[in-house]
Amino acid sequence: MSDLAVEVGGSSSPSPVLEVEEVSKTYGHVVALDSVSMSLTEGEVTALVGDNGAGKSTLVSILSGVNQPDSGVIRLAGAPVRLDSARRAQSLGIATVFQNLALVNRRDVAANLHLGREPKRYGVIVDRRRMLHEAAEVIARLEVGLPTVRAMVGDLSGGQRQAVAVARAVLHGGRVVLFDEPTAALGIREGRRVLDLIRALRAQGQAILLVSHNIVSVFELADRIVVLRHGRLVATVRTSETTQDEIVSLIVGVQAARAS
Amino acid sequence: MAASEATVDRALTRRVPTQNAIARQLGITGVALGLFAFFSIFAVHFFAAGNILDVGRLVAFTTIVGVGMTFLFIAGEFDISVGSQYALATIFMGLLVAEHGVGPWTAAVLVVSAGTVIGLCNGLLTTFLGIPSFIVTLGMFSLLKGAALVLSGAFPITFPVELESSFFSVASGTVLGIPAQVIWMVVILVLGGFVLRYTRFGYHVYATGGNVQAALANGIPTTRIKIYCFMMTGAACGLIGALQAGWLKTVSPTTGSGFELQVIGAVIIGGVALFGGEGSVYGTFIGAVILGMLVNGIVLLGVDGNYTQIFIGLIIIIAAALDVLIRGEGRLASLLGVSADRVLTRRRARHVRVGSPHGVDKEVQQDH
Repeated sequence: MSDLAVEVGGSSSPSPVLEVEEVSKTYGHVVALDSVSMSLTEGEVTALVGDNGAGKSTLVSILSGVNQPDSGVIRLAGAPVRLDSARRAQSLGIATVFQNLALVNRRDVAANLHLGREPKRYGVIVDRRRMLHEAAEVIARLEVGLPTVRAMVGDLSGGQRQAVAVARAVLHGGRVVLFDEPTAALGIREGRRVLDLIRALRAQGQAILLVSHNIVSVFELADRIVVLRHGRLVATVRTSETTQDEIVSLIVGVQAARAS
Repeated sequence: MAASEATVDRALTRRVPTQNAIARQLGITGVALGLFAFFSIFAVHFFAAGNILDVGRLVAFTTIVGVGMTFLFIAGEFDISVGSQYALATIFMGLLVAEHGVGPWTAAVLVVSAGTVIGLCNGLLTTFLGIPSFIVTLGMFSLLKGAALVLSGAFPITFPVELESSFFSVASGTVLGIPAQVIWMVVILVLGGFVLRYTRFGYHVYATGGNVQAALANGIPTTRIKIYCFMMTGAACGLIGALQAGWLKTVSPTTGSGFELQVIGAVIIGGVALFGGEGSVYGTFIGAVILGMLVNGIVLLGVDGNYTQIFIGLIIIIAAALDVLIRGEGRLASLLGVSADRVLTRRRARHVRVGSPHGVDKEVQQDH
């Protein structure tokens, strides 16, 4: 991932890791995204908010390589990239924590952490020992409350499952991590732990996109907020310079005060 | 620091004690052993060497195709046309050898390749047209059976008596008293078990059947995985078709009628999850052994042979019902309130959560 080796730690002059330029996407007659531009910066959490159907999921699916835009450019560390498959996006260092978590319940934590990228030995067999070792390492590093990485994912609590999905994003060295509604299905306590995990990732210098309906956690966590409405970008604001009421107004479009 | 990291790692990679799948494999192995003991004691001639070998041959073919079917089931698909594929494979072998003078070895290779192509067709129809594999292979079941009848003129084909080939001993000889078919089975079983358990392909088969969306989102080519599983099943049908022809030196278009029942029955009894994502080739082997012993033993007990079909049907339904019940799904499970699996899961969940190294989730301990 040498193309991602941008200087880290320059908090005074944060450089955008991922840039979206005038990306559009239509499904039949429905314009899901209309010339949207935004960027993600290392060591920052950017929240993407908007009502249902505003285009949040479409943007996430484009950035994670699941869908392709009709037009527009995506730049990674300044260079234009084609995210034409999930695998491609992952190999470029864009990790996604999907809303449905994309976990296989009947496999253990270690297998899920390496899903689709199982390490190999002698060219044929899966290197199970390395898999367990790497899994244990990332679980320990993130301080996820899991006793063993051999536990079946289906036996875990909602928060633990979410943590496994986050750990997978971290394990594969994503410089960019996309979170699609990470706390929607969780209880308060479990949601807290996931927010802590996201903070830990930010502290490690990752560029994070947080898609969430939960305005409270957005204000708690995000450095910047990007608001979409009906597929259009209506605002990009720093969290410190706005209020929850203003953001809610922007989402529902009652008063287009700051609209561009 | 390094020492503490090492202990964290070791703790984090320790095994979970009770695993459902293992418990179930032990369970059906017990059933198979019990059945073996029962028939050995009560069915005259069951324990005779000749009879054991007969059961072995029966089990061998079911298991060879069962290995492919296990892959298919785990990937979330299945193939009801294996009996017809088997019939067509034997006829194809017969035509090549008896009418076109192709050498048995070459013919066998062609038959296995043809089986693979049939599997490819099943796979392409299922994945690209999006027709459920039940429908695709039901159509193929009739189509291929018809093809076997048309190609053979509905008559058996017999190899020339003077024909000799080392293929015949490979297909039907014995090594240290063990029939060749059983040796083929062991080879396929070991190979299949290895691929499923230890290779990346095997991991992807489980992921595809376990959660196809998750597999796709993580870059696993699920369509290709499914097609490969169909091709393996087709190749297995080709192999047993060639072996069968090499053994009897005569082939019949009615070969393999009811064979799909044996294979799918073995897979279900073996505990492969009905909706994918779980199972092992060992379970399928034990399932095939159980079915093989039943078919043979019931007749030796003096029961009218026509009853065997009834027993097989009942056992498949019971095995499937247990599978659903153990998973805590279905109406019966909710009527009974607590399913075996829920008890197991809860016991495991307690183990999983208690003693977390970071002391979180402690509150779960109170919940039982």
